[in-house]
Amino acid sequence: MELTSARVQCRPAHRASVRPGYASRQRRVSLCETLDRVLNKGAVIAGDIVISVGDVELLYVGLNLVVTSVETMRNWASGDPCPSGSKPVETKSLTVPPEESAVRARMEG
Amino acid sequence: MPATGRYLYGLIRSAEDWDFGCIGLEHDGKPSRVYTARVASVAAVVSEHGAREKLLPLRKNLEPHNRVIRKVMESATIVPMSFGHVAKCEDEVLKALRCNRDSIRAELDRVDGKVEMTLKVKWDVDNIFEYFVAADQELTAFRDQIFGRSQAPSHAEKIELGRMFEERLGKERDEQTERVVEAFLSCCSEFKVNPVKNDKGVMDVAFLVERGRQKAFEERVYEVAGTFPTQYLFDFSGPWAPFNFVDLDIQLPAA
Repeated sequence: MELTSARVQCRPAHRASVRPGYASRQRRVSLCETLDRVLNKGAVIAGDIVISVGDVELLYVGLNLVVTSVETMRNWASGDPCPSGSKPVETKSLTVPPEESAVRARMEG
Repeated sequence: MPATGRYLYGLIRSAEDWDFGCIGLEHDGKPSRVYTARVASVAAVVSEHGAREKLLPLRKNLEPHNRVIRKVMESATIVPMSFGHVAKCEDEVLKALRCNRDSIRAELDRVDGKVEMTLKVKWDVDNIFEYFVAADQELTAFRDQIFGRSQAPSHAEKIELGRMFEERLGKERDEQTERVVEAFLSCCSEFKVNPVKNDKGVMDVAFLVERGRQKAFEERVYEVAGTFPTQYLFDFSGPWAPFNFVDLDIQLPAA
C-alpha cells in the first residue's frame, strides 16, 4: 500500500495548497515516522515466550527497554517489569534515554 | 541443534494460511520467508529467525519489519507488533495465540478494515518565542517591563516570563487540538493525541480511519488547513498500520 504524505499550508490567497519543494523531504519524514512507530508502538508480549535462555533473555528484555518509549516503559513499570523467571536487567541498558536510542538506531542503520 | 526461533511482525484474522514471500528479516544470510502461524481464525505473521541471534534496532532489521507490515496491509488488517519480538519456536507462538485468543480477536475487530492516518501541525515561524510574545499583550508588557530597565532582569523574573510563555503555549496547543480533532470526528472512528516533540509543534494526532474514508480524510485536511492562518503548517501521512491504536499486552501463563 502506497504511503502518502503531504504538507499543507494556507497561502495568503486563503486557499490551502501543497507546499512546493516538499517531495525531497518526504522520504526522510516517513523514515522518522516509521522509526517512531516500529520502536515505540505496537503490540507487546510480556512473558516467557520470548527467548528464555540465560543471557539471551537479558537481550530481549534489555532490547525492549533500550528501544522503548517512555510510554511503553510506563506500561512495563505498571505491570511486572521483570517477567517471571527472568533475571534482573542490567541497569546500564535501562538508563539509555529513549530519544538517544532512536537516534542511535538511525545512525547505525 | 537449537530449534529455529520465530520473529513476529503482527497479528491478523484469517481462516487460511498465508505466504507473503521472502521479504522478512535476514536469516541464514538471506531474507526469510514470511508466513502465518495460525490457531483457528487468528494468525501471527512470522518468519524463521535464530532464537539466540542478536537482534539490534538497526536499519537492516527495522526496514524488513516495516516492509512486511506494509505488505500484509495490502490484503489484511494487521495488528502490528513492536520491533524485536522473537519466540524460541513456532509452538510458543501458537501457545501465545491460544492463550490470548479473545483479546487478540477483540483488538482485530476494533481495527478491522481501518488504517491509521497521522496529522502533525506546527508553527512555521522562525522564533516561536517572539511569535507568541508579539501575539500576547500581557507577555509583551511583562517582557518590556523586565528587559526595558537599566539593570538586567532577575533570575526569578526570567523564570516567571518562561512560565507565562509555557502556559500560553500549552493553552494554545490544547485549544487548537480540540478545534482540529472536532473537525475530524465525522471521518474517523478513533483518535489519539500524542505529545508534540518540540516547541514549534502544535499537535500530533493519530486517527483511525475506515479504508474507504481515506480520501474524505485527506480532503478534510485541506479544508481544515484552509481555515488556519498561514503560520500553521499541516503535515499528514498514511495509511499506516494502526500502531497508535494497539492496546494489546499479550500475556503468557508461567511455563
